[in-house]
Amino acid sequence: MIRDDDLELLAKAKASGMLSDEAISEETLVAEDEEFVRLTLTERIQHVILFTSFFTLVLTGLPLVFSNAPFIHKLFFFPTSFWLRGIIHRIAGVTLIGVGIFQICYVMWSPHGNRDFRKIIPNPQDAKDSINLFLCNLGLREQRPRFGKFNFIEKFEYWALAWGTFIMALTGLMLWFQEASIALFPIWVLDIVRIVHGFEAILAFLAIIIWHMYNVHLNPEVFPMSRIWITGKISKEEMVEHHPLEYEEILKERRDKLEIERVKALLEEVRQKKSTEKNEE
Amino acid sequence: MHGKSLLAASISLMLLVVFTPSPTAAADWKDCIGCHAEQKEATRAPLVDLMTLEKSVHERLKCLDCHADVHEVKHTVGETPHQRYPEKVGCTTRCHVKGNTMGAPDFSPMEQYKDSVHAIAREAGMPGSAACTDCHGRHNIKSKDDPESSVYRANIPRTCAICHENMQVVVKHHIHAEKPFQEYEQSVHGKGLYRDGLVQVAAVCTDCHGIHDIQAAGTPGLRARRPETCGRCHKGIFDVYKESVHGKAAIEDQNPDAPVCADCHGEHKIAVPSKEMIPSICSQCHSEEGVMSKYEVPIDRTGTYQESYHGIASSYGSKTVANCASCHGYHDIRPPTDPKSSVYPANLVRTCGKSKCHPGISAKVASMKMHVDVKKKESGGVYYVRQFFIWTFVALIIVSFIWVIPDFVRRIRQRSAE
Repeated sequence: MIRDDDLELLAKAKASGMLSDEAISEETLVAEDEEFVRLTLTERIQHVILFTSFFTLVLTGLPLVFSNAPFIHKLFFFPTSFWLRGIIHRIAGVTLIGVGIFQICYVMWSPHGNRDFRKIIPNPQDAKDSINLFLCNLGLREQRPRFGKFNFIEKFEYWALAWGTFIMALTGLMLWFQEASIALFPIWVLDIVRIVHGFEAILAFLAIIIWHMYNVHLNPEVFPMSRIWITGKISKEEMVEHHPLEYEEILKERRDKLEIERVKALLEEVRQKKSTEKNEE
Repeated sequence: MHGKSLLAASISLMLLVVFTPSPTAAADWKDCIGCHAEQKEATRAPLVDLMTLEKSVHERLKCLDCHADVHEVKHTVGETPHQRYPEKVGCTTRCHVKGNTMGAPDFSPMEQYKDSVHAIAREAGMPGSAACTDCHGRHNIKSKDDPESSVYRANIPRTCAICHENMQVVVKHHIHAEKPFQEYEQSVHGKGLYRDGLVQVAAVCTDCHGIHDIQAAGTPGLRARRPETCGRCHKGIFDVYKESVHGKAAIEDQNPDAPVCADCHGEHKIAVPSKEMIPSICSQCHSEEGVMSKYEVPIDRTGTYQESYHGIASSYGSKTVANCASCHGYHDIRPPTDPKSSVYPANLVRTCGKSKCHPGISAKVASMKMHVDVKKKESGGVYYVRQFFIWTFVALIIVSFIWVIPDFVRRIRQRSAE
């Protein structure tokens, strides 16, 4: 319930210029050397387990995809080596599936994960952004598109990975438990599953090598490596440069918070003044 | 061989002793020992070891029984006893013939020897080719049942090896097998003989090649390539094999394309084919367009196997995955249209469902297409899925380059501008 006193107070505050944009400068909201959290510890751990199992799967799967390469045959020099390859591949596969399931739970039930997941869902703006960035790369546009927490490239990588993991896990399990697959599915399914598992693996590997390696390793801005996956932090400059919309959002959040605090403080001050006046009477 | 014939001649010379040339004189070897029992410088008469003679089957024979032509050679005591080397001993001129009066074993195999590769070579002017003495010995001839005999079963491989392991002989006469003895030693038969002492059981050269009637490699119906030859000992396998698609073609149709025992097991180095070797053994014929087209058998069987999980795992040395024989059988290979075949559709449940392979596999496996070549359009779904992925790769790479190159250039420029 708003009392007359409060309205009076707000009017005063506005009159004194307390709520104008200039009243709270950017410097008071964000320190020059402030670092923002880009990946939480849970997310970084997920990422490490993900890429360890991913590359283990690639390495232990390569011998099947490139079965004609003589140098790969040299790696299998002891009698149980091929059996061991299968075991390692399955352990890594189960690990990757585990990370995938954890990720699903994480985005569903963790407040932070859930909030970020909503931001990574693609929208029409991403299509516009991709065209604009491409035109900008060609020098046809002056202004680069402004991105939020996740730009369209990051979104694409995320969804490509999610889709790839789903396909690989599904086909992998079907091949692992092939007797059950033969019993459950039409007979031609298994042939296709084998092809899909092999080729999707190459596709996923190429996608990771080309896009992810370019974005986080080879591109001149971060070369030789972006450190975000270790520290989880991003500097203010990088934030302004790459995620301006997110930065603005953070500023707005902080500004609102500060404004409310200041108003509250003013309110308290006025009330106290009033009560002392009463006492003096 | 030249050295050997010289040696044979000189040994014959050893037996000649001082005696009056008289065709009827039954010269005892005691007449010869005057010169040949001990080394005499003056006569240069070769030494004959009397002990060797005494232990041989010919201990009762007299020198002249074999060296018959010594009679025709002039002999004078004190002078060079015979003016020329005696001719070579002919075992089959008087003694080892049918109806001989000497009581010598009737050497009817002489008839067989006449047609053998060795006899033909001799007639064709290769005196080094094996004759009686090359295998049976000379003064030391013993019964084939005597373990010291050069033709005792256990000694036969080494006896043959004297010539057949000699590279000069092999090259000179274009002999098909270069190291038959070394290979034999490593074979199941060689190990059976030398390691396990299976003298009566383990096959030796003569069991497969024949004794006196040995034929040249490439002779049609060569004994060593006839399944019946192996079947004399390996009866059980032979009975299975002769009912198989290969056995019927080889035995009933006498088809030279049909694989016989030696084609899969090897010739001298006969072994149980190792699992890794089986696909390459089968592909000797099954990847040959010329052979397979005659029987309308597709030639992509080994290729598609090698691209399958079974084939790939096998190429990395896995011992547990299926090879050709795991599904098609070994000696009892039959076409998939034969209800007795292990790959007859209705039998696949049992074949694939072996306890060590895919126990409890669904009966649906009967309709499963094996040996699918994903690169062929006729394979249907898998072909299109594969094509889809290939075009996706191409698209991915093209799009990536179209994207990355301008992006890279822009970032470099931006960096240098700062």
